[in-house]
Amino acid sequence: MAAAEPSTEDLAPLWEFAGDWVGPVLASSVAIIAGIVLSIVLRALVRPWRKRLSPQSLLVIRKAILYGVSVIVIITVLQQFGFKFTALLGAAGIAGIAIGFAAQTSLSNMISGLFLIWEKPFKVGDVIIVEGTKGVVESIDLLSMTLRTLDNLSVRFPNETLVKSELTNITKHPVRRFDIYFGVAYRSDPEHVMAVLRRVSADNRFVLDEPKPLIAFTGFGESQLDFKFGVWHEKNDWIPMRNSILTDLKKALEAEGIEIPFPHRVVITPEENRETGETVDD
Amino acid sequence: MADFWQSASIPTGKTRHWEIGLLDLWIQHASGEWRIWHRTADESLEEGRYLLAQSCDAPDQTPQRRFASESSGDLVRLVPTFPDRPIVSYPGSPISVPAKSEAYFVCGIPLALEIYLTESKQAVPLISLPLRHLSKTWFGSPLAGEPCYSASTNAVLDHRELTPNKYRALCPVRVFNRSTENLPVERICIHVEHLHLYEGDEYLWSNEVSVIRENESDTSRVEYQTGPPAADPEAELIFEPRVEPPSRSMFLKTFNHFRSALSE
Repeated sequence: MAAAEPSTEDLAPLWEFAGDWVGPVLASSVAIIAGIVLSIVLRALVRPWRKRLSPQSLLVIRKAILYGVSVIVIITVLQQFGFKFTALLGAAGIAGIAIGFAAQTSLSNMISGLFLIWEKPFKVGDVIIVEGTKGVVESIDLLSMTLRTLDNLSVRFPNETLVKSELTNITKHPVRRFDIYFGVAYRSDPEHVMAVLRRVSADNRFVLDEPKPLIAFTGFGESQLDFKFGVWHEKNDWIPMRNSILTDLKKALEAEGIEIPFPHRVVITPEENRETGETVDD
Repeated sequence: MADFWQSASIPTGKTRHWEIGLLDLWIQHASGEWRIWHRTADESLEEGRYLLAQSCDAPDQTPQRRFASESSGDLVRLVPTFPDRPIVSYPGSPISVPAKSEAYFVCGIPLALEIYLTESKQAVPLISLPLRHLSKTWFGSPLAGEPCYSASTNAVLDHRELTPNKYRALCPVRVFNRSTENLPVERICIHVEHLHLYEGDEYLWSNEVSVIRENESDTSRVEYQTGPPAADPEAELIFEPRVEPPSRSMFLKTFNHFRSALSE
């Protein structure tokens, strides 16, 4: 038994339905393609500024392009399918309050992120300390910053925390000073010690001869004469400089017969002679 | 005294040794590879050592650098060059250039050498070695400046105060102080990447550098003159600059004449 052929009249609603949707689908496709092209063009326009802009600013500009173009495309597509934005705007007042409360933290982080980008306390690749965590800044996003610790863990900090907390940027400046505090025995000649320190800094290949090292006789300790020895170095030489200068300092002091004393106390009991320290017989 | 910047043939299995001032260099041509040992003696050693490409046994230590190359032939070429950072020269004790006058300094620039495997200069040398230990220094403030090396000899007013040798080039610096203030000179920073190297009868020279201070600002106009210096006009060019000097004069911070504000 042959199936009945559908008549043209039977297909009419289908054609009508298709006719209603072909236009919006085509228009939406064009809008999406135009959005992609616009996004590529805008990113290409930003490219020549790469060297002048910081990585953070580039990141924000790229994300602004992505989100801006996406919003325009979505609105255009929805309008093609008859979505009424006037109704949405009416509801936006009420919804906005609810969303505002819900998105309070996100907005705070986003605004903090903009402050960080504007203030530039650090950049990608800097070594910083935040709330006791030291690491290399891996990425700075609108809501958070990711720090890679020196033992290779990723730690995410909300931008709001970065604005509120004390933050130390270790690698911001090209040269740094490493301060060594140490003491020598009271019998040592301070001028001799300072001459040894000058020689140690001059002979170390990682220590800069300008700015001049800081050599200071800082006071009289309980068991030692206190000194401060500050040597300047390039930030990239930090680890070899620290290892070598501490080694050089210890060797030089030993070679010159200058003792780094352990804390010590002289205890004299009542039974001992205060003059000689000898035990007194009853 | 023969020049160290010459080619040496090292057949496979042989080692050659150079003593150039404070630098000891051994190059061994092993089967399919080149091995390099180097050592820079401290300043107490006699600087006048000069021994070129002597046959010897290889040192006992592990080579500092190895290069695998089967097709490079037997020739090694040493090329004199300037260090890879600007050089800061000190005039011994601070000296000033009076307002509206000019002065002439000669700065000793310690040389480095580059090692190439062929007669023709390759794009990248195998290795670049300073001929003496170079102290690192910083020119500028701790917030902004540039990393440099310290010159081991003081800037002088007459080049004859410096002993002629093959490890140091003399850079004539002519300072024009056109400002209305005296210009105290404690340190002079020379961007050696723009210098040509010339060989004269006695000394190695660079082209002359003019530093013109027009006003009281920290920066000066720097111009690199072309050709051998006026002190030895017959000197022959032996090394082109690593970076051609700009056609227009540069504004650089060349003098450092302020005390560090960071001392405690």
